[in-house]
Amino acid sequence: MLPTTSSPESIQPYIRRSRLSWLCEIFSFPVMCMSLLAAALFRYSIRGIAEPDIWWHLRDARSLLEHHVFLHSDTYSFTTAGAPWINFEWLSEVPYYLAFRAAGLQGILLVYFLVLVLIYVGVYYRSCRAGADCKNATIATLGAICLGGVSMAPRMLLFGWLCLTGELLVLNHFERTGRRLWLLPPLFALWINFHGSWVFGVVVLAITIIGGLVEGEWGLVVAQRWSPSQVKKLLLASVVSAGALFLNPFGYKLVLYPFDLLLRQQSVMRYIEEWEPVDFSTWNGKLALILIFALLAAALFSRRSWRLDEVLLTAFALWVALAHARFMFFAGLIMAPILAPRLKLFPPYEKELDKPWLNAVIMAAVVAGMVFLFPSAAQLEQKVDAVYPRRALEFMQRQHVNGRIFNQYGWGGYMEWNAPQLKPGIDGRADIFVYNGVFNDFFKAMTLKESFAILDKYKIDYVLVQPKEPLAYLLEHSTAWHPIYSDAVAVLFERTRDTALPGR
Amino acid sequence: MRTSVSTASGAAGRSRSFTGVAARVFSFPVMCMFLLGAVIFGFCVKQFAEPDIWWHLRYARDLFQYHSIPPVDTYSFAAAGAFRLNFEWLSEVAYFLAFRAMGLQGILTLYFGILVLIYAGVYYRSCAEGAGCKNATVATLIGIFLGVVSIGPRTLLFGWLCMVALLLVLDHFRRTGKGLWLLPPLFALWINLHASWVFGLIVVGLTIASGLVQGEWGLVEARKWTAAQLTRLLLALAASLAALFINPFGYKLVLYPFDFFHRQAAVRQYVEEWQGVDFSTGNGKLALFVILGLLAAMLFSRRRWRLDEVLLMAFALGEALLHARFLFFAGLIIPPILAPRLNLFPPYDRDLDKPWLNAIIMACLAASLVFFFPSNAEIQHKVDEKCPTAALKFMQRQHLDGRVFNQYFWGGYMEWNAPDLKPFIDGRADIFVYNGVLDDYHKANSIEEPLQVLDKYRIDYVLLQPQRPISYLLEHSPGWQEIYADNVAVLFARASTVTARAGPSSGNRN
Repeated sequence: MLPTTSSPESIQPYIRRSRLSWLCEIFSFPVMCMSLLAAALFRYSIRGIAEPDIWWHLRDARSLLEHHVFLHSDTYSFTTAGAPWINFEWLSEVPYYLAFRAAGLQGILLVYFLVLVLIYVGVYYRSCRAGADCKNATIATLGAICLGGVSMAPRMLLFGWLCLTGELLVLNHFERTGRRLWLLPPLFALWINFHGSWVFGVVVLAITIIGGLVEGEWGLVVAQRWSPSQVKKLLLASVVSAGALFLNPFGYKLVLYPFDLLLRQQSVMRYIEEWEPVDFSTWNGKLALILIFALLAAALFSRRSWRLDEVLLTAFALWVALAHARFMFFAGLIMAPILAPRLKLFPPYEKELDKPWLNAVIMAAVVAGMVFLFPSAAQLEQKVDAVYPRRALEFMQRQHVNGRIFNQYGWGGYMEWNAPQLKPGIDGRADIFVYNGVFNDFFKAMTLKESFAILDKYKIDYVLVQPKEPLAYLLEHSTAWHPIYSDAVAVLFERTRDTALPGR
Repeated sequence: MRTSVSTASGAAGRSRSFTGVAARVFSFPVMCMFLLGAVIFGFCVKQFAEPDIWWHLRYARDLFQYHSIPPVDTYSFAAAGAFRLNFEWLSEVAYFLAFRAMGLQGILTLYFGILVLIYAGVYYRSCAEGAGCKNATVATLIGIFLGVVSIGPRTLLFGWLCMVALLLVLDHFRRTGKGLWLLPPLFALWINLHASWVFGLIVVGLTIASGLVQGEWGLVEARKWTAAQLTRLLLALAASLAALFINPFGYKLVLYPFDFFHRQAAVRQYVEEWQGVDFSTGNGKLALFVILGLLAAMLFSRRRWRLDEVLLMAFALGEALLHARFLFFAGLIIPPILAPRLNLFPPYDRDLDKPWLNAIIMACLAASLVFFFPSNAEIQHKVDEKCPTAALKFMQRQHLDGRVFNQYFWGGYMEWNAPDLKPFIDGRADIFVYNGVLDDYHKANSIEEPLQVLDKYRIDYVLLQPQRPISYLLEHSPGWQEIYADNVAVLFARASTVTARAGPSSGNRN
């Protein structure tokens, strides 16, 4: 309470105390925990720079910003030249491209690191709001970070998961206060332009609504019905959000795209590793196992009730994560705030025992560590070169290689960005290659099913693959092909002149 | 008068007793078990072509013929002379005797019978835990579907039969304090039937451990064993451990599972059923369903969990997810835990039971079993769809004599049907791990220096499935020539071998 006389001298102590308490909030133990989580994210982020799809995303964004036109057909590869194409991630590509223009690969690293920090700040915050102590919330968020490792790279879907975190925060806020649903339509309008994961947002919204349509108690599960005004607000927000989905450059086509993926692109789910189910022999798989047991333990050992929407979201997240490894990230976002309040690993946080000065030192050390360890452009290039065929492409450009190239799937984007005149046969935009059968043919050839027939079918002149690929071994032992370049990363084969296709 | 009254009342009593027995035999719960038996039969008939049965039969035949268990390998050329512990010898004897009696039908009858016993045990335990027979049927059906991964003429079924027996004994002990004396002879049998006795020890260990504490934590409760109970359990465990040494190989057989875990990592890496559950397969989707079912059971049911149930469930689930072959084990452990927590149907009402209807259904099922029981020729036909019968006959007709690199799961079939053609590898993975052959086989199959592997072992012939990558490679390799092909198998000969034989007739593509 301020003194009645308002002389500067009498107010000073209050201003000092107010500043001090503000500093205590900033350098509190919970905030320090978040800085430790950021350090963990930083560690993951550095590892993931060599993401195969970033290159053709950069090319898309460059095309958009320089020519001010949305791509509607393919101009990058020779196998699908002119085929109609929807760039459903166009808006996420823009920040990556702008960051690249400003600071090269370091800029890209910074963008996805910051996106990840925002996502997991959201997870941590939601865990604390759900009633978890900050230490337990930290453990749960760390678990979510480990689950998300599968997608920690310069990926467009991170913007989608950021939107999901935004949606969950809005819904939590609505549950507590009955307000802020108006944020959903603009969120979905943004989301559909960022990434196709908006479908998950719709599912989450639907589950949240359904969770409040009944009332009752069944075992540990409780359900409380929405009031009529809450239901009205939710339905209105849903309808407006559905309308907002059409605010995109491609209209209804972008809205229908996820269904196209589910119905017409089965090959993607069959051949692309991250779409495959969790493999329990990998680290990710072992994490998934820990998650399953943590959930079962939480259900058995905690007396805390489960809301019906928590149960439904958990079931959905677990099912999609186990069925498709890439959604382990999503499972982490959903389950961490559900599990956190049920963990009792540490004694509760006590504000009185907090040491802001120590927290400040730790946070400063974390920031200094990140700055010190932030990789240079050269170091990032080195990581990229360890995975991509830079030298092979340079060789091809020096030799003026001119012909149709059958390439490693994960290199197509890199070729399109670094050597656009060498049009690849395939890249990470799986959809257009699925529609015309190229995708299936590519993987058949790589796994030695009618490889020669496929190379002839597409009149391939050169094959650029990793040395350990079965196809590389086949061509090495074939008289119809001979290697003209090889290094630790890539080997390049050329069709032998005598066995060249007629007319070429 | 008294005599006729007593006679009449005795007859009436006997008649009521007979009716009572008939009503129990033809009761709805028993009819449900028959339905489960029909489902098991359906799977048994479909899944006969188990790759390892053939070398099991050969081992048993050699045992009967020479009255000794061969200590070293004489079946393959890549591991010839290598020491091998035949840890499943007793199960093999049962299959061989069945084969000798009735051919392939005998084998089918045997493993069908074992499976019925196993799942009767699961069903019984589910009912004994308090589940209505309808819910117990559904839970057991889930157990059967989980077990599909191992339904076939497999020696490990004897191991799982012992597991069910162990669980029944432990349940009985928990209820009455008696029956533990059965454990030592059970383990003495078990170690000679299959190496899954290790799982039995773990189950006993977890059961004992769960009774060492007392308390309540959320839905979980634990009650301490009394001093007498604990003494009996520990005595039974000690006697069971000692009983493990009652086998032809002594301490070596007892140490074998540890050898497997420490020295045979390649088996777990390369053999499909040792790999983790694949959620894109039917089995995997069922496993996912079971996980969600367990979660639902924990959240929606008010029934408490005993600590031993929690530990066993966690162990079974963990093993099943890490190694798909243990889905069968999960299907033994989890149904009796889930069943009393299911409330899918109204409870069984004995008064509404119709024994005559149950009897008709059971008779129809039994008649169907007999009617649809495949003949030896039909079973052989199923085998021929998966095994290279025609290719082997071709090789024998042509008197092909040389080293054969074969598909992993055909090795046993070759050893049983064409023992003169010693294969490169078969399903006795252990001996091929020790000398690096399994690694080399995998390298060749995954196109990591396959031609070098074939040269290393001086392979003359390669017998594979047509759609394999290595088949495609050899088709396009000048050093190899295809000499036989059908829908099941393709046979390549080294070009120099073909030349040396002065052009044998080329194979026919069916």
